[in-house]
Amino acid sequence: MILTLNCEDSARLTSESMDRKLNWAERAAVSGHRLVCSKSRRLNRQLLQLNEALKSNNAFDLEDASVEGLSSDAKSRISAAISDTQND
Amino acid sequence: MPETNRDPQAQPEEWLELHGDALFKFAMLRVKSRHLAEDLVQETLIKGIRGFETFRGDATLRTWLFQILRNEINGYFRSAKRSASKEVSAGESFEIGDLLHPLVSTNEFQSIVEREEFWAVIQVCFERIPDHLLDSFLLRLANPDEKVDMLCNQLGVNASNFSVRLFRARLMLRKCLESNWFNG
Repeated sequence: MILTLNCEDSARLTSESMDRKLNWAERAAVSGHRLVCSKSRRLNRQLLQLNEALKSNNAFDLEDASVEGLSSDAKSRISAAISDTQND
Repeated sequence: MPETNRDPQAQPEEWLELHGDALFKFAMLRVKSRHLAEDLVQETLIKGIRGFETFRGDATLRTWLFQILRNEINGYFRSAKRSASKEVSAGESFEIGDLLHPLVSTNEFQSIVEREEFWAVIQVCFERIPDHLLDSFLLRLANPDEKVDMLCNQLGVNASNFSVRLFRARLMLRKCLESNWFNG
């Protein structure tokens, strides 16, 4: 697999590594391919860096870094709007 | 109690409690405004309640609500013509591509990410990714700790399809950032 892995597979596995743990053969194949392919080294690193950046809360809101969910104010407002609809 | 997520018998009054936060987080990623995201969640829940007869139960309730939310978001971008790309004029240079320079170090990368323009470009790039790919990508982003299987259920796609969509969205996003640099 190390020798047969192409650039696209290597990028695909890098992407999958963000969502599941790769098995050892997959990890070996990706590292092996990276050793011999500078294009993939770059691409894979960029994909990982982007992923890390997006996972940081900056992605949600620049002023208000914590977006855990609806505020209690918003919940009461929405809840009131829903009751209004149901009473139509 | 994740099981309640798929309970079609859940009372509409409980939808806000059960699904409100997930819908909100997803909306925030697209619109980046708390206020607007709250409105979109409200519209989604109201449309869901009004149209509940059309819910056939072959998807989970949450999947179905997400479909409504995605329509709401796409409708917002279409009709209001306020897509993020309008806010960023094409002639501006962002230097964001520094991010993609082969020699950029992790520290340099951090300082790029801290710049506001980075997120403006990201928003522009989001709008260029086809909806079905972006939905998967944003859902994953909004739920970094959630099991991927759960997210697949939510979208109603199988795991390998989901993984391909994530991959394509990530490649497109990276490509978009790169072209912003080269053209900027």
